[in-house]
Amino acid sequence: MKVASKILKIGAFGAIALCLTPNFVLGQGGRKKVDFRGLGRAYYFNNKLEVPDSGDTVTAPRNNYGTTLVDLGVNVFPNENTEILGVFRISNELGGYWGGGVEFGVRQLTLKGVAADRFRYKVGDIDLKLTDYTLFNNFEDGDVNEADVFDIQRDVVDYEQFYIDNYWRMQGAQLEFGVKGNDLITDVNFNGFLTRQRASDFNTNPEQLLGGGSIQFVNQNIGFLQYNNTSIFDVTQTTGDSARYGNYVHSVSWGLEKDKKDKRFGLKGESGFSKTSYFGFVDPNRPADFDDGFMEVNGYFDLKEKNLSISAGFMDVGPDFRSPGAQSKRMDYSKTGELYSVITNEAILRPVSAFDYLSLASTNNRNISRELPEYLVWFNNSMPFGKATPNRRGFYLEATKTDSAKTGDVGLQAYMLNEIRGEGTMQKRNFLLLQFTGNLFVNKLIGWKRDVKLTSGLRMENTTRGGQSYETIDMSNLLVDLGANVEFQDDLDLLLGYKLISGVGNEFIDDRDQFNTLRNIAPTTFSVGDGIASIGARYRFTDKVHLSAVYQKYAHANLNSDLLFGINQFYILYNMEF
Amino acid sequence: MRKVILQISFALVCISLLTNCKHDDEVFEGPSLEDQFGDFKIKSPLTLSTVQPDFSNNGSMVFYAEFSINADWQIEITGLTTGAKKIITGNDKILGDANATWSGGATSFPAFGNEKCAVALTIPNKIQDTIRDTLEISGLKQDQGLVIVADYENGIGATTDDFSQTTVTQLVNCDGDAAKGSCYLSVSGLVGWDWAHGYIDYTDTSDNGYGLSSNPNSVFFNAAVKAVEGVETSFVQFSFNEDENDDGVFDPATEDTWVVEYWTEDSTWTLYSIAYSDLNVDADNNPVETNGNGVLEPHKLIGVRAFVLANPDAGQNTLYLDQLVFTSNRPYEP
Repeated sequence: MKVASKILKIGAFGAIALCLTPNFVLGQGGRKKVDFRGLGRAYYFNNKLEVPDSGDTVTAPRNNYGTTLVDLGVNVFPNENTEILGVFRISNELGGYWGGGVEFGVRQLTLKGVAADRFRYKVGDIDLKLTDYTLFNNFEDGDVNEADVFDIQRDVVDYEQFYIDNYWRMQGAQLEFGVKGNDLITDVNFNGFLTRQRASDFNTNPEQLLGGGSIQFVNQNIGFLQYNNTSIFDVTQTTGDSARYGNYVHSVSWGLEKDKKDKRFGLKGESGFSKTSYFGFVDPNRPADFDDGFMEVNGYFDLKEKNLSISAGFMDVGPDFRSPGAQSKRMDYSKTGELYSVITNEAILRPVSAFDYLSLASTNNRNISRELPEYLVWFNNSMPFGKATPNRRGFYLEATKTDSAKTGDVGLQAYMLNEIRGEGTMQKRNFLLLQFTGNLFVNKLIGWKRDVKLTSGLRMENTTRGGQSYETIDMSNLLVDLGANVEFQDDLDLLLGYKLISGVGNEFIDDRDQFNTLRNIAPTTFSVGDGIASIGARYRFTDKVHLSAVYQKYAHANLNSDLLFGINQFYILYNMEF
Repeated sequence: MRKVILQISFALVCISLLTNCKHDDEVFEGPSLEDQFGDFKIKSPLTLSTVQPDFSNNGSMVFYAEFSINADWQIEITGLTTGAKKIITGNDKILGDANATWSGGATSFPAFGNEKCAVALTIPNKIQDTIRDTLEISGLKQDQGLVIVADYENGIGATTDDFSQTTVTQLVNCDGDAAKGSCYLSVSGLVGWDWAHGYIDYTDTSDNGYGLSSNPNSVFFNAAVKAVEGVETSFVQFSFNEDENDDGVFDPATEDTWVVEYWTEDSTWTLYSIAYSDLNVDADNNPVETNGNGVLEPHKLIGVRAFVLANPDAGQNTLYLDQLVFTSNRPYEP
């Protein structure tokens, strides 16, 4: 096997070397037939676990690791309408003996092109997104205008997990094309895709596919009307079991906009429904097919000269609305933290927390989840699954303002939501979410040529429920993000960051079965917090190449379970994009 | 154009609002919080369907009560003459036919007689007080559907082999101390050199053996055990021999024997019950190895061995056995 592996590696590098020869790079007409891009990264992490009062004499406190890797992306253009993109990865664990830690793999393989000068297609690894309610990869919890020092790690996580904006990375095929219309409908745009979510295990899990698309009707002067669909379904006869799951989400989104010289205003919305089916499951807890709907209407107003944007909306998402493509999470809370997974002398499983958000670990998720995933109520209780969070109804207001001298900007979001259907009681939760972001470019204020930036983010969330003493809820969550960048030498930045996430109060934790049916509700009291303080330096060789050295202290305190621990971390990271 | 846009806007907003704001919100989702955590009150006091139950002809009686929320409850019926006890437990809001029916059996030995009984309802996590009542049994429960291996009422029973150490007395006593009926097996002696005291092999070689169901989940073996001397230092080893090839003979080299041990716990009569489906794992829940096909086949059972053993260092040992029976679907109730 080792010999075969080496032959494969030599062959692959040979192919790459062949590609690098000038005759291959330039076609007969001098047109570039091969293009290269990629990323190089090297990092070394030094971690130290701290548990007070000698509470952990078992775990080795220090844990170091590091890796060097190169992603070499090759764009091949066999003809003017076709492109082949392959990204090959070579990684080498620091300390690997004679190549023992070396891994070679294909990170991405995509074929794309244009057929008949009209149809754009992609096959292989594709990134897909539709709307907030149909197919949408929501951002992580625990981030409100995060400091740049945290972004160094988060960028790595996003890159490794293919978190590109709100797209899901999937494997399949996509077809897009547009048609010119008439005066009423100026353009019609079609988008269709089919991806494979799971291969059959030939036992109880059948092949699972995700398909869908959109048809958009556009009037350049008025707006658009768009039909969206995402369907996840098991393929019959791919196992001996007849059970098959299906979830089908249909929606219509629309937008009307008037864009004038000094202002822009519009109205947009989306409404639709989902249908979920567990056909043929023998489990007696299997629910009957169920469906539910959602809607959102939003009006917005931009005063261009004043750099002021205001929008307000109403949203209503039914309790039984299920849309796995928009309700899956980037973090898998059912797992334990990967680094120091078992801590203290009592062998407690370390809970997933803010530290793991910034770590590349198995707790990151990039799969669509059939079940509503677990979440931490003290991180995000009002909309743990983004706007597609089921059982929410209410109003929201959003505003952003940038000053005319571009010395800073502020943003404000307020959500006032409540449950549509109670959980365990007819009483319903009320959610109040206030979110503030602000950036101040100090150098512009004082006229300094080097960048000095202060960033801040504040997220306050309050959950309440009235009623009898046994059913009341009063839970307050707080997220603070503070950061500073000071370019004290040319291209050399001092980075500071602080993050606090806390939750205090009481809540009821849902326990759902594989059919998303609520089976148990556990009253829980919270007095828990995570804090990370970080200081670092970054040297920017170019916009795409930097070397960073960061020291940060992470602390977790759960006063209800008397769990106190911290992790001190120092890392050096070199990142190069080309 | 402005008019058109306004009309389209109005239409889209109306359609959105009207089509999706209706949800199923007349009920709540999940288990009731009130049932779990609400204030406890007794909405309906304890009542009995009859105070003179007659269990002789498959009769039964029901206890009724209603609480404001789900609660752990326990009904204990105690025979005032025999001391027999029946305990019924549950976690419910309403007590009735579904969860609080009594057919006259006892939870363990001794069995009830025609006697006055005290009834005590407790709700341990909710109220301190015990709710009490009384009843008088007018007709005794009749055992039905039992497959008797040995009840010693007519001697030692259909045996094929037996053994006892020279210092052990193994005999049937009919002195009124039986768990059920009049007679029981007594195995008594001092064996300072060996664990083995004595065994008896019971065999039914009729065409269908003991005639048990083929479903091991629905077959229960039961025995009454009393350690007069040697509590916790003696045990009974029960072996179950299956005639897999239906030739009427058990071959220990090629056919399955399932073995289970019961260590004595008390110097009074104790009911030991085990589901046939649990015979294929040991005390640590690990699968056991057998010499046959390894499949639990109660319908092929033709032999049962009751083997009394005791710690040789523990001195004199006296152990009583009675009522070796199979029941269907549930353990035996005396």
